[in-house]
Amino acid sequence: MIRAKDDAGVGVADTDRLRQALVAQLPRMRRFAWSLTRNHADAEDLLQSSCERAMLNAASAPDGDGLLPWTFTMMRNLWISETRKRGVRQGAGQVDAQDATELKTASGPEDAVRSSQLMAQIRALPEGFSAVLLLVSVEGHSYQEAADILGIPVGTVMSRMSGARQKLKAAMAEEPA
Amino acid sequence: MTTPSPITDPALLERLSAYVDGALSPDQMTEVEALAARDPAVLAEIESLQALDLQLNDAFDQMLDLPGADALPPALQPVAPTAANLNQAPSWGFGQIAAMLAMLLVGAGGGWFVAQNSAPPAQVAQARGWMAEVADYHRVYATQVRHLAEVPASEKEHIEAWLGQTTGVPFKVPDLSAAGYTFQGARLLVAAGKPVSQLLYTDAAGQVLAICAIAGGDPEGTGEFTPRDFGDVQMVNWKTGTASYVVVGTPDMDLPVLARQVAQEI
Repeated sequence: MIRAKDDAGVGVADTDRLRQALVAQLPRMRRFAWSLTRNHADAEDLLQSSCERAMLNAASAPDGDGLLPWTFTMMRNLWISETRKRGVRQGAGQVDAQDATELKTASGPEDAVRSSQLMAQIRALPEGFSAVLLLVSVEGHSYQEAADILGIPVGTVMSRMSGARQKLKAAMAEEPA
Repeated sequence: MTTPSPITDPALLERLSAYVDGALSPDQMTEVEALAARDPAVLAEIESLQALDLQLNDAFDQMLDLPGADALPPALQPVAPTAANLNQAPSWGFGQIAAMLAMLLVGAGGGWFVAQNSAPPAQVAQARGWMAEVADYHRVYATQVRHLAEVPASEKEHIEAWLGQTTGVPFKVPDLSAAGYTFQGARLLVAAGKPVSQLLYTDAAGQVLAICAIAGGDPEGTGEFTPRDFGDVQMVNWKTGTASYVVVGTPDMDLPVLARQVAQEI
C-alpha cells in the first residue's frame, strides 16, 4: 500500500533529494531506456514517464546503490505496460541493422564507426536481448540482479546473454571492415 | 576482432558466456579453464567473447557522452510546468515527446517509428474517461465562490455517510489545514455514468482543491501516484483495490504531496 510521510515538509525534502539523485543518473537511465525501446524517441518518453513515476513515489525510493535498479525496474514495468497498450510486440517492430540509420555515423574515426555499427546490430537483436546485454556486460549486474530488474528467470538471462553475443559476433563478422 | 564461433553446442556456448560474466560456480569455472587449456577453439571463443565485451562497453559508453544525454526531462525540471507548455494528454504518456522527435526522425530511419505512432496514443483515449469529466466539473465549480459546495463543511458527518453510501467508497474527510486548505463541503457528481464524491477545499487565495473518488479500483494495483494533465486542471491519481481517487487543482499546487497525505487520511 501507499507509503506516505506525515510531515509534508519531509516529503518535499525527499522529492528534492530524489530529483538530484535522478539528475545525476540521467545518462545511464537514458541508455537503459534505449536498450529497452531501441528507439530514441520512445526512450525519451519512457525516461519522462519513469521520472514522473519515480518523483511521485519518492517516499519509496531507495538510497545509494539501490536507486538505479529501482528506477530500471520501474522503467521496465512501464515499457511492458506501454507495449501491451500498443498491442504490438516490439519484436515485430524490430528493424534490420542496415536500416538503423539513427545509430550510424556518416563519417568519423574507425572505432566510432565500428561502435556505431555494433549499436545498430544491438538494436536489431530480438526483443529483450539488448537490455540484458547492457545490464550484465556494461552495468556489471549479476545474472540474478538482471533477472530481478527485468522480471525474468536467471536461466533466461543466461541464454539471452549467450544468444545476443553469438548473434552480434555473426553480424559483426559480416560487416565490412 | 570478433568472429563466428566454430563451437555449435548451445549449452557449451552458454557456459562459456556465463564464464566470461563470472556467473559460474568455482567448480564450473575450473572446469571451463581446464577445457580451454585442452581445446584451442574453446580458448578462442572465450577470448572472442571478452573482446566483444570490450567493444560493447565502448559502444554503450559512447551513449553516455552523446549531446543531450544529461538533458533534464520535464519531470525533473525544478519549476513545475505550466498549462501553457503542456498538452491535454497526460504529460507522462508515451507519444508526446515521441511525436516531437518523430518530426526530426522522418526519413529512412524514422519511417518505422512514425508509422507505429500514427494512431492516437492509447492513454489519451483512456484519459478522456471519468477524470476528464471531473476536470470539466472542476472548471465550472472552481469559479462558484459563493456556491462552491452542495453540502457545507458544517455537515461533515452527513457528507461522509451520504457520499460514502452513494458512491460505494467509504471515506473520512481529510484535514488539509496544515497544508493551507480549508474544507468547504462536498458535491455528488456523475462521471462515466457512475456516482463520484467530490470534496472541496480552498486555500487562502480562494483557489479550489478537490478530492474525488469513484468505485472501481485495481486489485493488482501498486498504489502508485500518477499525474494527469488536463491543461489548466491538474490531477494526481491513485488506486486501491476497490476505488480510484484523484486530487484536483491547478499547476501551481503541490498535488503529489497533497495526494500522499490524502491517501493516508481518506
